[in-house]
Amino acid sequence: MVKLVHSPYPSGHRQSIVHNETNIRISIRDLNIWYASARAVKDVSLDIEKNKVTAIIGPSGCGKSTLIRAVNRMNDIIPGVKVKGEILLDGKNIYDEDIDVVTIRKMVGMVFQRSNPFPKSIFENVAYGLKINGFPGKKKLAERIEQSLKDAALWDEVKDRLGDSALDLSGGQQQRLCIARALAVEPEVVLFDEPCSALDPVATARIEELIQELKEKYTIVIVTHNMQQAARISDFCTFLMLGELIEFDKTDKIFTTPSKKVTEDYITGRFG
Amino acid sequence: MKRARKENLIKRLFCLFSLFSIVFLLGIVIVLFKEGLPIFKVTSFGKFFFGKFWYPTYEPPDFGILPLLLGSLWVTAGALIIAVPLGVASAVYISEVAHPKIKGLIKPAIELLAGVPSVVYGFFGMVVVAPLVQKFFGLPVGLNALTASILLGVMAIPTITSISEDAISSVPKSFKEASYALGANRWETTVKVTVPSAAGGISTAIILGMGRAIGETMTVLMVAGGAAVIPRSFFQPVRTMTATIAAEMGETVVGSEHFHALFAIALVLFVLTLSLNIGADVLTQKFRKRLR
Ligand SMILES: Nc1ncnc2c1ncn2[C@@H]1O[C@H](COP(=O)(O)OP(=O)(O)O)[C@@H](O)[C@H]1O
Ligand SMILES: [Mg+2]
Repeated sequence: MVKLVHSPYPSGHRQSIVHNETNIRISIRDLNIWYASARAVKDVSLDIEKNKVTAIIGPSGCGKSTLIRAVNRMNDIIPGVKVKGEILLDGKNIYDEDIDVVTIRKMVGMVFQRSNPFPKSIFENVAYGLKINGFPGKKKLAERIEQSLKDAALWDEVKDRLGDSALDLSGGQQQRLCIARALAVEPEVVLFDEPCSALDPVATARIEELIQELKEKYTIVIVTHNMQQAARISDFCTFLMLGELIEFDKTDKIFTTPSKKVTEDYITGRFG
Repeated sequence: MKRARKENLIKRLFCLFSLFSIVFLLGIVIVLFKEGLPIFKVTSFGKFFFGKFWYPTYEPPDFGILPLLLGSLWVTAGALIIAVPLGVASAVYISEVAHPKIKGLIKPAIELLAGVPSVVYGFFGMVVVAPLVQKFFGLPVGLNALTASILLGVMAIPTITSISEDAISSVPKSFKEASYALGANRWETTVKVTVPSAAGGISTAIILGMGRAIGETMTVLMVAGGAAVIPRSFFQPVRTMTATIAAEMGETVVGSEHFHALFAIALVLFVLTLSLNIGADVLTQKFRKRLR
């Protein structure tokens, strides 16, 4: 285990040029992740800023999902995964032994590639996270569910049929329901792993718009294979290849004057 | 050319083989109706189904199957009370909790339970379970509805466990991931997401287990006590429809009223198990659709 100073802002850290340092919410430090013996993430370090959208791009299989899943310790549930390095959330390493995974997952919500609502009612889907965390009171529960559905821009479409099965919703609505479900437990960070890859352009546009609104309240990390999407919605952008971080910078800079040749080749569609 | 003809022949042969079971089924249905329906010439529908007395050899005879019908349902209900919790819990344990090594031990053991001949269950019931039940509850006889229910329950467990386990382990991983991502632990995920998502398959399993219990003959014949009276408690001897047919068929004159009455009981059993199977099928279809 590489032990670093327990300060989120060590001097000489290379991201300090990119960020306004006081706004950093998550610091990933020398992160390495192995599946059995294959290393999927190699020595990745990057800082994620509060109330901004940070995109992770790169060719398929380059470790984007593995990296983003490390941030709420979702890789823990896959047998044989080994993690080395640190991820500091507000300065505290989430891989420390005294850390409760449940607390981390409540603070860092996640929306998956394929919408995965439970085969329960719309109401029960959003209520799930609150109920397992012992949320008190029926009235408060209903209020929070309404608020979450409003935040996910789904309320107007479902307010008259909260008791219907979530599986009767369209693909885009299901994905917004999953967002509402994640927001209900009031996370600080929300991770999106290719949230639009199964959606049509209209549904995609709605989710993109929504992510823009969500960054007012939340810190957002999004994996996408869609370069235009990264350019449209993100403030910062990370380019990964074969598990390594190739370039990390402000999105404008990455898409106009990338400092590496491979980055330029990738975003101009010469490979990937 | 020659090869094509050969293939064609093989195809037809296999088609014939598969038709064989359908022909057999049809034969059974025809015989059941042909030999069962004549009883309604001598006794009314109402008297047959709701008659409280089964005295087929009295003069005049009574062909009321209510005690037998209720006897069957009674021991089946008792069996389900035992088999559903045990069977479903085993399924959850095998698919969600058990270490692969333990799983490799328990799964075959439960499947082996399904392979034990029912006469062996009956024998075990007579010499072990019945005396224990008699002693434990201080009863005059150990051969009663409770003993039958215990044995039928054990016999239904493999059906319930293996089908439930299939259903539970086919719940999409994405549901569990969503649950974990919301801060649920393994237990909460299993109880509140995985098992409810498999509810369709688990109900199918229960229905098929019920079919197994209702149709079971040898064991109940040996351990249920055999009294054709309407059951009022689990501690009294009862007689099921299956046991009645098995015990009496050998002693009836072919074509007699008693003979037709037994066939009519068989018809009732057939319709009951058929509806259970159809019910299980419908549930399975609904379940598949629900999970896309
Ligand atoms: N559960 C797993 N077990 C073993 N290897 C995996 C697993 N998930 C991903 N990998 C491997 O890790 C690498 C990175 O995968 P992933 O993070 O899913 O990439 P991306 O999301 O960028 O497409 C790939 O080579 C993939 O084959
Ligand atoms: Mg991926």
